[in-house]
Amino acid sequence: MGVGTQHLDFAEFYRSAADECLRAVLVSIGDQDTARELVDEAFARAWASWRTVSRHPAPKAWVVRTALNANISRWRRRRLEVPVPDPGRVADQHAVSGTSASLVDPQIMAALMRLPARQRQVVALRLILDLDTARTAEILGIAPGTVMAHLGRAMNALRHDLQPELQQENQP
Amino acid sequence: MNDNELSTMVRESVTDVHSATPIAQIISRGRAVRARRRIPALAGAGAVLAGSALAVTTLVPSSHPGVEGSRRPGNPLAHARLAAWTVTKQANGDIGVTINQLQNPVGLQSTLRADGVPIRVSYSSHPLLATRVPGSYRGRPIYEIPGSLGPAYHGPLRKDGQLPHLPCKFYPSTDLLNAAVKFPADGTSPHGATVYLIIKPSALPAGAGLAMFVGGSIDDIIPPNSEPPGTGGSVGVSTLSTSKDGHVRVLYSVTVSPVYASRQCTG
Repeated sequence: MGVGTQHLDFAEFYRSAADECLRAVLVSIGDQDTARELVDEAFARAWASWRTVSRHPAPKAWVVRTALNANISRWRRRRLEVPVPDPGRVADQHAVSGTSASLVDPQIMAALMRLPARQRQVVALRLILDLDTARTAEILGIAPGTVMAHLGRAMNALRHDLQPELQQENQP
Repeated sequence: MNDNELSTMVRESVTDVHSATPIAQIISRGRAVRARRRIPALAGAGAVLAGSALAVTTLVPSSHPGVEGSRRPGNPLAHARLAAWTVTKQANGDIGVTINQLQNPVGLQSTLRADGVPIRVSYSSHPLLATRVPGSYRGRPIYEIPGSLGPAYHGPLRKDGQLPHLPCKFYPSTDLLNAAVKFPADGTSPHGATVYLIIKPSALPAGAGLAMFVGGSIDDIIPPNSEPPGTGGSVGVSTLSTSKDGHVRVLYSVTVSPVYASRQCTG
């Protein structure tokens, strides 16, 4: 695979998968800014390993898994930084473009965040990435039966959480 | 509400979320990741330390390596003071380490070992340049460190989750790390120096030690997507300053991880 072709393939993959991967990671961790950072980093790593990732049976899942692993590592490291005064050369483009503003339904996101992390990951892979049970199990390193159990519990919890709000909304 | 309706509702709750990052930015970052992977993996910690010693030979004035104090064995308050770093043994057995310059890691390692800390010290002699990138992480600015970082490790871990070529094995205890290493005042030295940390040797159980990396970013030592679940994590501090061209220079980056003590790793 030539370099030019490689870039073209990756560009196509990025265009088609970036939104979906971002949504899946967002559903898993709940914070938009962090989700963007993690997904950007995961795509950069996908680009760096594109020969391998492009042959992966579910490249989108690879990106999401990489992003979620990076999140775990960030949490574990608790790294401190002591910056001298803000460099300020690069504007905070997030603030400028308004991407930090909430673009998600707060009630549904709140209900998702009340789920255990593993259930959120299953929801992200099954519902947002639309992976089947077997692939989800493979990506998360758990048994297919466990995936089904997590999804079932997550759906019940979401239904329980969201049903009253829906009924309230539908009331005249 | 059936499962299909609920699934649709969850999907639609995030449909307004779109990635706004230009692909050029992703590829630029990807190039940095790939470039760093090409750096030979530590080439054995011995080689790193040998290289470090060579750098010190070049950097430190030949007349004297800046010794400002002396070390007296047997005196619990004895301290060794060098221009690059200072090690001070306190009355309660704790050891204060102040790092002023990225020089002489071998001497720092020897001094700490002599004070009873089973430790391995390695460092990158390359100056680190970082650029602030858009966004923030939990209220903190984010910095990207592109290109080569010297002898930091960027490749995959071994199947057992350990770093290849490094004769140290991670000690899987975050509690140990928290107890044995402190960065008071966010790592800012009370003496105005750059990085200050305290090591409590008494908190290290038999068979445990520390690995200290100076001058490299922890993200470049352990790939984020490969960190094994059994490590004790790392704690560290970076100090940054702004250069005239607007880049942020990582003056010092010190990270410490718990490892198993062994002759090969911690002496």
